[in-house]
Amino acid sequence: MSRALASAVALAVALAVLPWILGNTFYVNLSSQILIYALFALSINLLSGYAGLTSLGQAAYFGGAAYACAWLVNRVGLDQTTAACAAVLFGTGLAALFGVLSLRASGLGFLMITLALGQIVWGVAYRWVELTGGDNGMRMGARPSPLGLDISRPMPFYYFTAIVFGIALYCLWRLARSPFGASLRGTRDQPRRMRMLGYHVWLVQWVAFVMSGFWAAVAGVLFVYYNQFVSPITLSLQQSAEVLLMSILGGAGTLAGPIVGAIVITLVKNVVSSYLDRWNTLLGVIFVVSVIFMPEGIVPGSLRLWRRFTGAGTAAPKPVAKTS
Amino acid sequence: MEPALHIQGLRKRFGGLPAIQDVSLQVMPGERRLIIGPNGAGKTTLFNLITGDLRPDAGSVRLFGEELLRLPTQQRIHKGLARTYQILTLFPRETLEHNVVLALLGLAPQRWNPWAALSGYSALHAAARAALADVGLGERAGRVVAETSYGERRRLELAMALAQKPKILLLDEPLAGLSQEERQSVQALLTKIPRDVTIVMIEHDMDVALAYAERITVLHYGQVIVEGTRAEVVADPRTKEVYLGD
Amino acid sequence: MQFWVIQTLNSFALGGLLFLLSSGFSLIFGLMRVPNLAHGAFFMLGAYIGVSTMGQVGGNFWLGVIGGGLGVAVLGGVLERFILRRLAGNEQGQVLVTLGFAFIIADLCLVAWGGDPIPVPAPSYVNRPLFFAGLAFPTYRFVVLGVAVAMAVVLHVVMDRTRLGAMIRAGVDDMQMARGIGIKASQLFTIVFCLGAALAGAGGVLGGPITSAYPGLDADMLPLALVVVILGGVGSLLGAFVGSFAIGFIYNFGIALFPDLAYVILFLPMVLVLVWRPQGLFGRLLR
Repeated sequence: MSRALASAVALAVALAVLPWILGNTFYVNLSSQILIYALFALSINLLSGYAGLTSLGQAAYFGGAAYACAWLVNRVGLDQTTAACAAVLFGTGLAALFGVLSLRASGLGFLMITLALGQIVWGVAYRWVELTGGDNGMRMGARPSPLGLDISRPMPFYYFTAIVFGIALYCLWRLARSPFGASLRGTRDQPRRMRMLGYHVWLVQWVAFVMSGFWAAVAGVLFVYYNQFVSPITLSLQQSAEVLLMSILGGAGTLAGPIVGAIVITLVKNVVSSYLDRWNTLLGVIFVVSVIFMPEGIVPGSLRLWRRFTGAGTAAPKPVAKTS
Repeated sequence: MEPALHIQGLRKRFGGLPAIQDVSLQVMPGERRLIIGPNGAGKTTLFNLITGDLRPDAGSVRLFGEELLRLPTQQRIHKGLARTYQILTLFPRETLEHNVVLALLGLAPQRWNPWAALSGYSALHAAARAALADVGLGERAGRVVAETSYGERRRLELAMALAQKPKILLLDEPLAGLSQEERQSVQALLTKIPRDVTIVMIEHDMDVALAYAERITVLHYGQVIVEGTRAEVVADPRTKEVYLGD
Repeated sequence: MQFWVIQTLNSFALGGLLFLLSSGFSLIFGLMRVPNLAHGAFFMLGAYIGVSTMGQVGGNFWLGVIGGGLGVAVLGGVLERFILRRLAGNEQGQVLVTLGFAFIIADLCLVAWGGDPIPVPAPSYVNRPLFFAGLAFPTYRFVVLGVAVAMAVVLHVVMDRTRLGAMIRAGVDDMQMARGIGIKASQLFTIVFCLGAALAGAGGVLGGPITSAYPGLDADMLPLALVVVILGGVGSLLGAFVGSFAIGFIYNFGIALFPDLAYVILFLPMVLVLVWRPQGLFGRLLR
């Protein structure tokens, strides 16, 4: 417990002083971006890591909430707070509906249905020009001012994002060690046995699906605040794949894994994009390489190496590579 | 007296093949019932129909008078049904204690709590350790399942089912794959189970099983061939026919 | 009247293209348990290779179709033999690898063929519409439909009458059992993967005169193929056939009548099937 508290304090201090170390606006913005993607990756990790349900449609709730927020502020003229709440509600509701449909299947069928549903949402954003602006996307207008604070500049926005991220991480940390978290992991490892122990496996998975959609929607609202703009790319298969890769690359089923994955992928993407325009090829290559050579992910893999190196620790880290 | 388990006219076909044909049986509260029969007789299928892993084509399964077939598996468990598997179905990367905690949690509303720490539920963990101690695994509670022996896993299966304090316990070959010594110790555990638990058991080891059971049902090609007390079933020529002709 | 005629023909043509795409997808999924997410990219790559082949061979359309099919089949074989094979048993890993390849292929096509749509010329003898009862029928749509139906017949005969077909059916039913009776899974997987890839590649060229070859063609086609398979069921040729034409009609008329809502309309049949018959109309449960 005290160790958890110590890491929490360390993380909070690190997040607080980071922009002062970086100084440069570009890096502060990059940090905000990383935090937003880390939250997004944590959201999909609830499904693909803890529940063992690999989704390829997570961008629907992220981008859906981003669109909803921009649309409500820009077109409907709602105030920022109401718009943000409604947008998160929209993303979560979409997840609740899509969860009912996707959980009709399991394993790769689930993956295929989430992908198809995600592509339908992308198609709507792309084709329904009147509603969404089509390929041109939609502008947000302005960032909100929570509690009257101005977060339009990079530094305050970074702190705003860091606080939201911190709250989300705390909630997810509690979830991971809660009875519900244990139930969820149980349904991943032995769904049939869990049923036989009295668990409503479908409902457990659906609740996890909705929670995952909720946090993706929160990340989506942060995303549209950050960019002040949203386009169909935010809903694309690339986006869903990227965030899944973050959680897998870092180590699915752990809390640190998706964060590490988000840092690595976001940095690589930004660095590569400034030199050449071949991000999609690189994304594909990282996918193939990480699946073949690093199936358990960076965090569990390096922990294992570290333990072997120091000879310390008795409990082996849990392998997370899964076949459904 | 109302039977603890009352099965009537149960039928199940796989494709065109009948697996269970018109099975009816009654098990009274506190009874120890043995179900025997050659491979493919439909014993495990019968269990799967009772628990809801499979959906029957016709018939009725009542637990203390209450129809189970309308309920999904997990609700049947909440009505007081528990079972063990012939093929071990455990959580191999977790500790023995966590396995039993999951069993206890399955019946507790706290399983939905996404906020409290599971480790904080000390009563739950104490109950889990007690259930493990009951099957002689008290010392091993902190071990990961993957590091335990086969015999210990068999006992863990039993501990998980017993921890739920079921009214009816279905045991699917609880002695499968055990050495002679282990058999005797598990058998002793089974004998210790209090009489408020009704037990239906599938077992191949006739010596152990016959010594344990009070009434026996012989299943063959999905049908009840013989049913009666130990002596009646052993004496019945049809029993011999099924086993010797096999 | 002319509108309905054209749209009906377009729907048939789209259905035929979807059949070429989804029959291979469905067989691969049924046999190897891998939804090949590079299938949309195969379709697009086929179109590009086809149009380049035509340029090399003096514009012969059918050589282009064969070139597109062969080129993609070779690529599919390499992908199956050298990458997917390494991940045998790790089905999720295999899917993610096919997704990775989808991105790589799409991006490299952009490098090789540029960002502008490339028109694919139809054979000159079908360029002129057929006139009948005072209505003009775009001839090329008949060609696509004819090829697709012919392909369906050939596939049906192969699946139903030949040894290879019997082995595929056994594998789709129960791979372990099929291994038990001496079927070489390794060869079968490669053959089916190449066959599926070839169908997608040839389909891409064949669709070229209607869709042209453009970046994003893969992303447009993949979800349609997925919906077809969800609708028709995994591993079923009949399912792929019925599903393809159903989606061909729904999507095409959706686009024509409610251009904004075409994708929402696609959503409805999927919901209905998932709610009432999650295994698809003709398939087994997606497990």
